[in-house]
Amino acid sequence: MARIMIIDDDIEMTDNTAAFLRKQGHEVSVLYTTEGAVRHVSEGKPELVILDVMFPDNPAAGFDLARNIRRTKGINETPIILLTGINQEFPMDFSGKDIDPDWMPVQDFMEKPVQLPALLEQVNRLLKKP
Amino acid sequence: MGSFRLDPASRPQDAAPRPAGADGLTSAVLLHNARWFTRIRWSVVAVLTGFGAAGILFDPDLLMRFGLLPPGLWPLTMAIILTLLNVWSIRWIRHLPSRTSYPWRGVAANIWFQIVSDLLVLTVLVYRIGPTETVIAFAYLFHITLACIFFGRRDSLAVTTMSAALFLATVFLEAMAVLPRAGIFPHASLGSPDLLRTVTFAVPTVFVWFVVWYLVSTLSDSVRRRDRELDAANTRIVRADEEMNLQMLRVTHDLKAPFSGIESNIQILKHSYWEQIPESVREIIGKIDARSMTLRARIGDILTLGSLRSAPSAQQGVGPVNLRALLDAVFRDLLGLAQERKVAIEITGEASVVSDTRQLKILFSNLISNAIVYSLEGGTVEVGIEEEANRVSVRVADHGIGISDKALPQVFEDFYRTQEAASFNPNSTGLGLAIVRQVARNLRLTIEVESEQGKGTTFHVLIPKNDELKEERTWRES
Repeated sequence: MARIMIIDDDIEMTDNTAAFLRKQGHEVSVLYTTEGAVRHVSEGKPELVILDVMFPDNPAAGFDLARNIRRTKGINETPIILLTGINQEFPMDFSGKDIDPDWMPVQDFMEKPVQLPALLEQVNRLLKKP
Repeated sequence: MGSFRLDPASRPQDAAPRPAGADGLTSAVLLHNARWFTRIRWSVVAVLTGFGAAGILFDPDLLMRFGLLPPGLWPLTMAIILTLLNVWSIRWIRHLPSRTSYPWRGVAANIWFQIVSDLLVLTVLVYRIGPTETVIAFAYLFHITLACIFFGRRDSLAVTTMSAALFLATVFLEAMAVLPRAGIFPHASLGSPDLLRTVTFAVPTVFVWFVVWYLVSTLSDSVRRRDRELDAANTRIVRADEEMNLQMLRVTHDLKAPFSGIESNIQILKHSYWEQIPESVREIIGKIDARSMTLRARIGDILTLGSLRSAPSAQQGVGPVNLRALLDAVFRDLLGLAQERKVAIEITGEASVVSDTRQLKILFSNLISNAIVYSLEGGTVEVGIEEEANRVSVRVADHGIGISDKALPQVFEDFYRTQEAASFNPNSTGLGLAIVRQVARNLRLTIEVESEQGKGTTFHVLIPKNDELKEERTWRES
């Protein structure tokens, strides 16, 4: 089973998702803020990061963090699932397959509220070693 | 079968404050007036040319038989002068929009130029036709009235005074034999007109002009004031509407976070503790889940509608859109719903347009999910892309419950649901077609609906194929 890190300011949802993934046998750590997140990811070396986009102090903090992870040696290969709860209010479509990987270097986008079976499917897909 | 057409109507925001001159007339209105002036002048040129040509072509005796003196070349000379002035004015107007924006002063100066040159030409015309023998002097009223409509009271008074001065100078100079007597009637060739007769004709005439100026300018002023008040009231309504929309968005957004928490808890119960939960409790959780799905759809629709309403009509997201790929993506998203309802979806055709992918996807998601939801079990939803000369038509047809003729014009209104629709699908938010209408307005699309109760509904979305949307954006920016 794998090490997964969830970074999301919604404590209730994060804890529930973590509990669900733990029940599937994964080792899950959680962060409720992006502050110092790169350091935590570097130290914890998770095999997968599940990351929210909007945080209270910065509505695009998830975008910035995803780019920082990609730029940091040692963790730049870590797969990232970006949780986009912003579709209705944000003039951007994440559901298409034409998102430029240079602009947003993540492996998958999932719209919040995430359906847990769908999340598990993506997690298992991304954790499969090539 | 009933049908309804939703045209890309202008948004209420279009009536928002516009740059205007001191009298509240906008550059666009003035420009329209300036163009109208030039068109009217062509008819005067035509009359003068006809009169001049008649003077050359017809025997002078024939004209004399009708009581007219042969006019000579002056009507044609006047026609040429008016033509030159008109061409100059048209060129001036054409060059106005190419500057940064329609400058109010520039258009007003053009109208002033046209009025002053017209008054000078008219004075020569009045003198030539006979200022006191005919009613031609009342042609000045045309300019006085137009000045009252186009300009404020001060400017229109200046036009009236200028007309009066030119007319009085002409008749008195003619009466005092400074100007040779002219006219189109034979008695004009006799000596100078009687001074007393001139005064008794000219002074009351000019008095009538000032009375007309007073009445028309007062009326025009009050209409303009009312127009400004209406404009201000409209602006207040638009602002209040925007504020209300913003408040609704804030409240809905605030509802979203705690609601997501509830959903998350339902999910953890369903996917982590389901086996430990007794059947009776599972049933209750299932009901809570179903209710929360309805609520989630409503929150989603309100936020989508709010975001579309606050979006500019021509968004930055405009680019080439492969409609087939977009509809295939919508199909993938709605496959679960279609399977649940046992409805098949058939997509045919292919085309590309220049538009906003995100908004088009929202529009087709709503139309196709409606078609699925209101189809009968085992039915088929047909989606066809057809390329036409200047546009692409996308047809979304179902063979479901249909819409009555009476309800058809209302289906695009916020929260509107027909009784049949509400009983067929109690989870409907009533906002799906309001979202469709908003996208159609934003992207300037036309939507046609045909429906027959019990037989089904067909929507035709007509998307301009060329860069009309880009042109629209440029026009709005200018």
